Amino acid sequence: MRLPPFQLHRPETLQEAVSLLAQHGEEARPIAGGTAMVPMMRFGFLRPEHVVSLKGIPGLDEISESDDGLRIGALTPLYRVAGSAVVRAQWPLLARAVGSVATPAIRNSGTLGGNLSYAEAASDPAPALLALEASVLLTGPEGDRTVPITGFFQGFYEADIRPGEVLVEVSIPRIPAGARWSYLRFAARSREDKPLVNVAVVATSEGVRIGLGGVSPTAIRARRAEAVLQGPGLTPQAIDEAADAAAEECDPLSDLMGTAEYRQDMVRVWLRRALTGLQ
Amino acid sequence: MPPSQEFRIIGRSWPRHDAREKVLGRPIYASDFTMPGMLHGRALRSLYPSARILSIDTSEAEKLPGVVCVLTHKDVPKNEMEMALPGRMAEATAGAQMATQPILADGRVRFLGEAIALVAAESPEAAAQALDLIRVEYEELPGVYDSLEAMKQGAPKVHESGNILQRWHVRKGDVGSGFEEADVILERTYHVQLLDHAYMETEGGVAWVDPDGTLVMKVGTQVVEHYTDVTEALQIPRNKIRLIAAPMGGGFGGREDVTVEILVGLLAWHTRRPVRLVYSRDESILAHGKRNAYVLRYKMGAKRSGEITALEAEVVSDSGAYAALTPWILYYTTATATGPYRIPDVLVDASAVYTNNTFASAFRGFGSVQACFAYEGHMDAMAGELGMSPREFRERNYLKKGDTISSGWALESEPMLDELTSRAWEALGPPPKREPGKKIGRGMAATMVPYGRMAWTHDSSTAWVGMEADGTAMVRCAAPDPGGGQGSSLVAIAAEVLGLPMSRVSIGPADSHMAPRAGTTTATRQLFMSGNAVLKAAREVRESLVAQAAQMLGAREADIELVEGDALTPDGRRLGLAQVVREAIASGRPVESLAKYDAPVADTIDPDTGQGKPFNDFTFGVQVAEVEVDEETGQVRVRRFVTAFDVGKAINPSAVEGQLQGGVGMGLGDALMEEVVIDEGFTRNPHLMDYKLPTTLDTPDIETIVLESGQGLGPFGAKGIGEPALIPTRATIVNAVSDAIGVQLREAPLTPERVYRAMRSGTD
Repeated sequence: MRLPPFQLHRPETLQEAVSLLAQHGEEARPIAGGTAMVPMMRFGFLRPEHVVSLKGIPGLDEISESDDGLRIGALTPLYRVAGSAVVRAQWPLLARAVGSVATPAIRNSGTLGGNLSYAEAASDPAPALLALEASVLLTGPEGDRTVPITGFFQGFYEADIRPGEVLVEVSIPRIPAGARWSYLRFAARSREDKPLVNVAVVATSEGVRIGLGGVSPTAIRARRAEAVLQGPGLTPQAIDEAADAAAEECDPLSDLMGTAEYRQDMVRVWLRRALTGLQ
Repeated sequence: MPPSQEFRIIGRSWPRHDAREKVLGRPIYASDFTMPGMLHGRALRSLYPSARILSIDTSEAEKLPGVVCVLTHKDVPKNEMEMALPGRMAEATAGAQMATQPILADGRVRFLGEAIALVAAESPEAAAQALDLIRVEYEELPGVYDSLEAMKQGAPKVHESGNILQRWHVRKGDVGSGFEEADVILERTYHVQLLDHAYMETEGGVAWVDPDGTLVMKVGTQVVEHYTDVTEALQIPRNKIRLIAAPMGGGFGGREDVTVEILVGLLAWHTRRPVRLVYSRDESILAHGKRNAYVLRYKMGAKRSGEITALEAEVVSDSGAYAALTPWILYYTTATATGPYRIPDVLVDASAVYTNNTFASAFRGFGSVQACFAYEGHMDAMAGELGMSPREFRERNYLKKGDTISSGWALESEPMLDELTSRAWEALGPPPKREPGKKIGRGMAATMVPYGRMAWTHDSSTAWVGMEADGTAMVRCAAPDPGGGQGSSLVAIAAEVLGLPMSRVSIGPADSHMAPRAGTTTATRQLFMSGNAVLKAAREVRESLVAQAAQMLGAREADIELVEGDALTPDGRRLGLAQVVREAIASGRPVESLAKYDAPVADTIDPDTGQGKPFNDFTFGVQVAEVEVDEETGQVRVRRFVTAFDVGKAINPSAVEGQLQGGVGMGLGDALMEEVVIDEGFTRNPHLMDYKLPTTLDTPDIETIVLESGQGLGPFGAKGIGEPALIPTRATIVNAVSDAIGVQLREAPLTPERVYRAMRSGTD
């Protein structure tokens, strides 16, 4: 399982990267931290002839706060997102979720944009960004495009990234004052394992937003569970009903971590815990 | 040495002689080693677990620029590796079948990942590309993937000789009457899964041919003596090969079998150029020996008083596609099947069976973990039936000095199990309070693990110790150090005896041309065997130095002490050892010695009854743990863990603690998360993304209790601890979880889902 041969491109501008990707079409893949791409290539799931490294493009790894909210460059390593003073103070849910990815070594190499582009169902950041109603900015041959994160994950390891496009930035709106949150992950094997199920919750006076990971082909918003909570709020009975609704609306797979049936049961448990343990 | 003298090094904690280099990442492992003009070797491996090979076409691969050679079975002078049955072991084998394994598949593959062809190329890329160009035509054959299925009539045959590889038996007393005497009889079946060693460094080595025609190789191996397997395959004289054991990123039995030696040797011999061959992680998981999966049916009888009357055990080991060391592993399981308990009537029938799974072989414990899981699970179950606590039931039945074990041999040393048990439980402290949402449980396991080889094998080790004229000393002993600190212990023993600081003693590499034969770093034998050889050699050198110093100082030999590099007289006169050595050399006195240590020898056991003396001695230990189980998810957290062993004498207490803690860490993976999953012959997790190992965050604080009874056969009364440290951990954790949930779990790993289901169904 060595890497198959490929041609490595190291563009220095975004334009250059986009045109390389457009030029080589399906033969090309962008790479950032490589923590997902490299294993996928080793296993032979991906065999791009051209690999376009985004690491040499300046300006894509910045975290900036404005009145509208937070913007995080796609190339920002996970450890910087998790450790950022702004993120920790204003978006602690995101800091917690991103800081939960695998191990320090992976967080040092892996990037936020890479994690989302990979569209892994058991991503730590994805449910958090779903609950935070983030959006992503893509740039490609046709120009820029903003996609709400709720529409970004389209299928099993499949994101809404068109040929030639690169994810450049993640935007997260401000959380209303008084909002509460929770992030819980349940790893079935070692602590560095990806989650069997993870739950991110943001509760505001408007309502409760729930992101779930590991229990459907993509990370999802648990809309039905949110709807259950819309009227009564976080009463014990409503929480139980929401947990049941979430178990119903997820569509888990069986794998070496656990069966689909067990995952469904665990969605109930962990959503209930998240809703009763809001910070 | 004078008996009055206190130890200066032995029994005190010191950093290993090579610790600093290792922490700084400086050792050159076999996988890092390069030679000028070195080629890169790769193996082509089978894509099916059971198939006929109709044809192999290497022509396209050979044409690829950069490819230097492509080899298949036709290019191997002797393509059959025979499973060595050293010394008089073969006599104990019923039917004495000689198992063989092809080096490169010839017409048939028996497991997924079996080597079919070899490539050597100028670059790793060319070697990889060449593999893609080799055309192999397969015809799939039915396979068998379950050991119990493989024993049935009509099961697909893995080898022409049939699927039964080996049987061992124990017949002690009469189990029939033992069960008649019993008030309670309980029968249960236990399962142990396939495990990978998952060491940091995969298997690798570099080989080249010296100008004088000697094949030289640097390989990460626990067994220097494997050079004989290479010479057999190549059909070259045994003195035309030199094997050097490189520093290793872990052994754990995974480098006890031949790994890359023959493959890389073949390529170097054919190309006459240096070649490096390193397994990738998937190759390591698919194509080197795993820890055997077992099914163990235990039936035990006991009186109401708690006295065990009889044990009957039926044991089946999955060997996978080839024998490797499985027959001997099965012997260890058989010989230790009764655990550290006094049982008058015993019957054990053990079988090892071929399947089309990855072959299994040595893994730290060598069959002892499987036995311990069954006997310790069964002790708990039986205690429950009797209404006794697991601790009390064990204490009623612990072996004492003079009691006979299942082979009819009477124990010659005191197992110390009562003391180990009470100290371990004491360290665990009072039972915890209940916590909402959590089920808290406690469990224990006791064990008895041999160190050193079987007593009938005429095991020996040789070592050379010599002084240099500057007062430093050198140890030469071909004992590979896979990271357990074997080398450091040998340095410490020589330094202690010679009165030198450790910094003035070095040990050379385990090199078959340069160091005397020490035997394998397996079976927890190096400290015992090579430790004794170094002790003997160092004492001989010491005698000579003392005689020389006595003469120079005009003192009696009995009054001379060697301390910190000086020879001292009681009245305070001193001489530097450098001066003593120079004078000794000038006057023709020896300043070096080659010594051989022979383990005590017993007659071969009776193969039909297993009666006789199986091993020279055992290490005894007790572990206890407290766990919590999440009531809603089944997730297990080990809260506290205590491991207590009698090590005889701790040569380096901090290293002993390290071994004890490492054993628990490894057992934690076995108990909670590790398993090589093979589905109808296809391995589903040949990578660390889905073969998970415990991290520091998964590992609890581990309290170690070290008893030093001084009863061991090793230097200064030491016993072996390398393998024993691991053996009870799996059983301890599983017993604690069973206690927590009130349902006995009889298989592992205890994934949350497995525990969750057991909690819900009330059975596992």
